[in-house]
Amino acid sequence: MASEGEQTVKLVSSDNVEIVTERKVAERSMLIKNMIEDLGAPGEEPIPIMNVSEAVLRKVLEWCTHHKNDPAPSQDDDADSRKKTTDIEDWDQKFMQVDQEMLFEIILAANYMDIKALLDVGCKTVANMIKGKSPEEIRKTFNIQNDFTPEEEDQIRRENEWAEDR
Amino acid sequence: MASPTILAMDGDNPTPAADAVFQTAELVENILLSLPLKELLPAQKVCKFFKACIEGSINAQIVLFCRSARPGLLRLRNTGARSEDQDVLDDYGIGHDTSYYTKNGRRVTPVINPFMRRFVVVQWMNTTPVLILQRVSPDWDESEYLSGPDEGWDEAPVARSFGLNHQEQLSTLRSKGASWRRMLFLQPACEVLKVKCNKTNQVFTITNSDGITAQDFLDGVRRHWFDCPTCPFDRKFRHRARKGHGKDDATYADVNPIGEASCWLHSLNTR
Repeated sequence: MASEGEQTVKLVSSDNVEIVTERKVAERSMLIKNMIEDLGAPGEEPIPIMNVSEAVLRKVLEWCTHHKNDPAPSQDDDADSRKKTTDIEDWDQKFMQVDQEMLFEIILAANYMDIKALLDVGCKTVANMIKGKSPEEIRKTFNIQNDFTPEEEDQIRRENEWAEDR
Repeated sequence: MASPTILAMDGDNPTPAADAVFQTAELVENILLSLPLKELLPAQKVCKFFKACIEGSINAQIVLFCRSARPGLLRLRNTGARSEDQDVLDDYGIGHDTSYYTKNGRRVTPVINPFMRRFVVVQWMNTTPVLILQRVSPDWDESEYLSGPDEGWDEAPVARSFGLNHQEQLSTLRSKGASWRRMLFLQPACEVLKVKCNKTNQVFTITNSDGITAQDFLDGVRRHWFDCPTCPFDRKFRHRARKGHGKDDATYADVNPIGEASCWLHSLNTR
């Protein structure tokens, strides 16, 4: 039997493309890790990644490959997870230089595949895009509809105006 | 929680992934919690779903000082045991047994709400849980509840917002519904707070069994000014008295603590 590091697994994207990758890389995803444990015979049975298309899955695996040797996240570091937005390492920053829709695809995939570190990098990238923008600019950037009535908008404005820079 | 922002779905939606992310509460929460504190408050103006995510997130509420970071309020170990005010003054700097403790007896120094820097300048007294009302200290503002080095909260805007030429901003502070009033003054929340007036050396106590809010703090300052012979409130009333109004006729409610604090601190800063 091959050692764990050399084992491969077969993943199948939502558009039915088979991708073979190192088990260690794939196991950055808790979803896949649990599936492998449940299946018992890694490498033989293809693992369906139902919600993720080939393009996104390849991108996610690229991240997993670069981070395959990262220490496993501890269960209770939620308290420390509120790190500075500027705390994205260079490689991750470059990795996230994709078109906006791909960025959100990665976030959705990281969420679905349960890759917390990648999810956090994605969310921080979006937060950096929000930073310094007015609510109207944020809506425009992300195609979000303003669903407040003028009265509601006015009330929120009155409640929080004191905190604004002038 | 309000329903998510549903965008016009006309078959050729150009941003399905972005929409899916912005309609998932836990993802929006994760994104918003990566923002610096001062950007979290205005983020609720984007849409109802953002607002609901912020209001529904325990972490966001803690970060915004709307909910205590601990289930139980912090307590002064010796609350009410001796005559408080004189006691604290006697122990200036060496009061070992008047610290804040959690229920488990762990000593804690609560973080001062950084939003309060807009209108009041306070600092913990050495080794005792007594706040000194004074001017800005550059060492004071390190807060683990701020999510990043954040130029916006440094001294420049503080000086600006304390300036007397910013009546417009003062009026937004004075607004009855202004959200700072509901915010906790300290995080984790405390039920008793002692404040020493830097000018008169008097110590006054503020209490709220549900956790001291910014409103409680300013009410405390207001009461202190009302009682204190040398504080700025009195100067204002002496001025008024000349115009035929006596201090005796006035009530606490006549004093506007924010406006007064601004005038007072402005004069301290420019002295």
